[in-house]
Amino acid sequence: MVTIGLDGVYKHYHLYENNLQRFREIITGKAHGKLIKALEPVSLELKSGQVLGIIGNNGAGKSTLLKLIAQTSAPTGGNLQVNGRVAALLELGTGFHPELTGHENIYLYSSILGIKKQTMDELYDEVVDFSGIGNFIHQPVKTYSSGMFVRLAFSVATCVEPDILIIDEALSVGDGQFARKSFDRIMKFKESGKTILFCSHSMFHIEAICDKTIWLEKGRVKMEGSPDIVVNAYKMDIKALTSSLPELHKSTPAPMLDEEFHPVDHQEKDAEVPPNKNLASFEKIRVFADNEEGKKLQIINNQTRLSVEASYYSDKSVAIAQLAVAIHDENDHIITSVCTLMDDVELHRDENGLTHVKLDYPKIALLKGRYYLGVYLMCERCIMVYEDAIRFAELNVQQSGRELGVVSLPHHWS
Amino acid sequence: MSIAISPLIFLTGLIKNTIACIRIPFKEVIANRDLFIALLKRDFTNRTSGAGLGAFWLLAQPALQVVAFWFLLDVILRVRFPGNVSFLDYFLIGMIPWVCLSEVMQRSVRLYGEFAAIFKKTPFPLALLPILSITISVIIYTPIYIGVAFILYDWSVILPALLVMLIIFIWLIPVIYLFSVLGLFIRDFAQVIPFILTMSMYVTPILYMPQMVPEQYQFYLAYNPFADLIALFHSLVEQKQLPENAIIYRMFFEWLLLLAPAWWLFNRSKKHIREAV
Repeated sequence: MVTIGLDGVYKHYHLYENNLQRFREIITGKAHGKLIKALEPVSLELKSGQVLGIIGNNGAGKSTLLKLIAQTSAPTGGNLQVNGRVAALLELGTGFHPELTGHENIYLYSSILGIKKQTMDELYDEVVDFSGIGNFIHQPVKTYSSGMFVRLAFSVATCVEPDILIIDEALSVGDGQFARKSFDRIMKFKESGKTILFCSHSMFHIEAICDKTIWLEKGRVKMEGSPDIVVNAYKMDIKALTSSLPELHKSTPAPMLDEEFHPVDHQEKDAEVPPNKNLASFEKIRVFADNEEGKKLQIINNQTRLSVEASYYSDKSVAIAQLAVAIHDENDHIITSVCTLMDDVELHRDENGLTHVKLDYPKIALLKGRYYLGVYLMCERCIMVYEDAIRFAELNVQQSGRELGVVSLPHHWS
Repeated sequence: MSIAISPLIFLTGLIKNTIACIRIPFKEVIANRDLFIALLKRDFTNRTSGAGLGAFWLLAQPALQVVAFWFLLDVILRVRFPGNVSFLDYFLIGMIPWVCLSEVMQRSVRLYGEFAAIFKKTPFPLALLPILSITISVIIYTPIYIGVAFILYDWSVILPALLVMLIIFIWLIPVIYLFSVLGLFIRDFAQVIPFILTMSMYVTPILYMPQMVPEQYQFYLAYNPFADLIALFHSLVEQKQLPENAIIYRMFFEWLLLLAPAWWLFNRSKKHIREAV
C-alpha cells in the first residue's frame, strides 16, 4: 500500500522582515519578500514497510520535506498524499506545552494526532512506562531536563501506533538504556511494516536502517536509490570519505593518545550509576605489535602481527555487545574495519557479564604512514554504539619497498 | 495594482466565505472534539493553577471589577437613573456580558502567540483556536450571568440570560477570527485593541442608560455596535422582549457583513500563521 505519495511537490516561500510585510502578501496575493526555494519539485512514492533515508547538507531541504509530510507546513504546489496517521519527531518536545504536566501533554499531543481519549487511556501506562519519567509525569514539562523531554516525546509519538513515523536526527534519544529501547522500537516499527522517514547526518545509520535513500542538495533531489549507492556518492561529493563510526560518538569525549584510557571498574561503577544505565562498557583494551604491547606501535608492512585484545562488560538484560575495530588515517577516514557480527564470531559472556575477544591481523598490509586504531562496542545489530575508544592506539607503519598508497593487497603477476 | 474581479465571482466568494465562517469552526470542533475538550480543560487549569484559591479567581476577578464600578458610581458618585431604575440592576445586566465580550476580544489579538508552542510544529487545526477562546469565556460567564440575573429578578430571566450568552457566542465568531489574524500580523492592532475596548466601555451605555446621553449625541449610538448589543441584552433580560427593529437589523447586517471578510482573511493567512509566530 502506498502510504506517502509526492507528485511534483515543492515549497517556495518569501522571507519577510516583519509580519506586516507578510500581511501585505496575504491581502494583495503578491509576494514582496525574498523568494526562498526551500524545496524544488519532488516526486516520490513510499509503501508500507519502507524506510526512507534523507541525506544532504544543512539547508538542503531535508527538514522542509519532512515538515510537508508531517503536515506542519503546506506545499506551495504539487500533489501530496499521506495515507495514515503520522507521528513526527521533528524537534525537541514538538507539540508540548511547557506549562502543562507530562500527563496533560500526553493527552493534548495525542488528541492533536487525532487519537481518541479512550484509546489514549488504554495506552497511557505504556507511554509513561516507556518514557521512564516516573513521578515527574505530574510536573509541568518546563521542569524537565532536555533528556526527559525527548524521552516523553518519543514515547508518545511511538506508542500511539502511527502508520508513518518521521524522525529528524533523533535516533540517539537520551542515553544508555533509553537509547537502546528507542532504537529497538524503531526497528520493531520497521519490521511491522510501518513507513519510516529518517533524516540524519549519520551515514552509518542511513545505510544500516534504510531501504531507500534520497540525497537533497539546494532543495533538489540530487540522487535517489539504494542507500549504499547514494551514501557513497554523497560521501564522494563532500570530498571526504567521512568516517562513519566516529560520527556516532556523541556523549563522551574520545580518549586520545595523550590521555590515558581508564576502563571503569564495574563494581565501583555499579554503585554510582543506576543499574543498566550503561549497557556495555570496556574493561580493558590491549594492542600488540608482535608481542610488544603499547599505544604507539611500530609496524612493518606485511610482517608485523597486530593484535587487539578487549574485555568488556555488557548488561545481561541485552544481547552480548559486538566488538568492532577500525583503522583510520590521520584524517579519520576509515581504511578498514572488522566487526564480530559480520565475521560471525561466537561470543561468550561470563557470570560477571564480561566478554573477552581477541583480534589478529597476522601480517598487517598497511603501507607506510601513521594510522590510528579505534575500538567500538556496539549493539547486537552493530548499529548503535555503546562505547568507543577512538584513536586508542597509534600505528607507525614502515615498509621496505616503494609502493604507494595505504594498503598492499594480495596479488600475483603472471 | 489592478483588481479585475467579475461581480459574479465576487458574489460567489462572498457567499462561500460567509457560510464557511459559520460552518467550518463548528465542523472543526466536531472533528476534533477530544482535542477541543482537552484544550478547554487546559484553559481552566491554566487560569486557576498556581493560585491558592484556584477556581475562586475565575469568579473573583470579574466580580471585583464590577464591585469597583458599583462602589464608584453608586456609592461615591450616587448616580441616579431616570424612572427609578436601580443602578445596580442596570449596571450588572450590561456589565457582565461586556466583561465577557471584552475579555475574548482582548485575548484574541494575542491568541496565536499564546498557543504557538502547541501548533507551530504539529498538524494542529488552526481554525480551532478562535472558537476555543470564545467557548471558554462564554462557559465561564454564563453561570455568573444567569446567577446574577436570577438574584436580581426571578427564574423567568434564566432563559433570556442564556440567550444573551448565546448571542455573544455567535456575534463573536467573525470578530475573533478577524482579530486573531490582525493581532498576529499587525502589531499596532494588538497594541491598540485594549485601549479601544476601554474607550468603548465609556462610550457604550453600560455605566449609564442610553436615555442619559445628551440628545445631540444620541445619533452616534447607532454607529456603536456595542451600544446595540447592550441595548439588546437589556431588552431581553429586563423586558423579556426584543429591542426596536432598527437595532436588530443593524446588528444582524453588521454581523453578516463581517463573516465573509473574516473568513477570507483567516483562510488566506492560515499558511502564514505558523511562520509568523
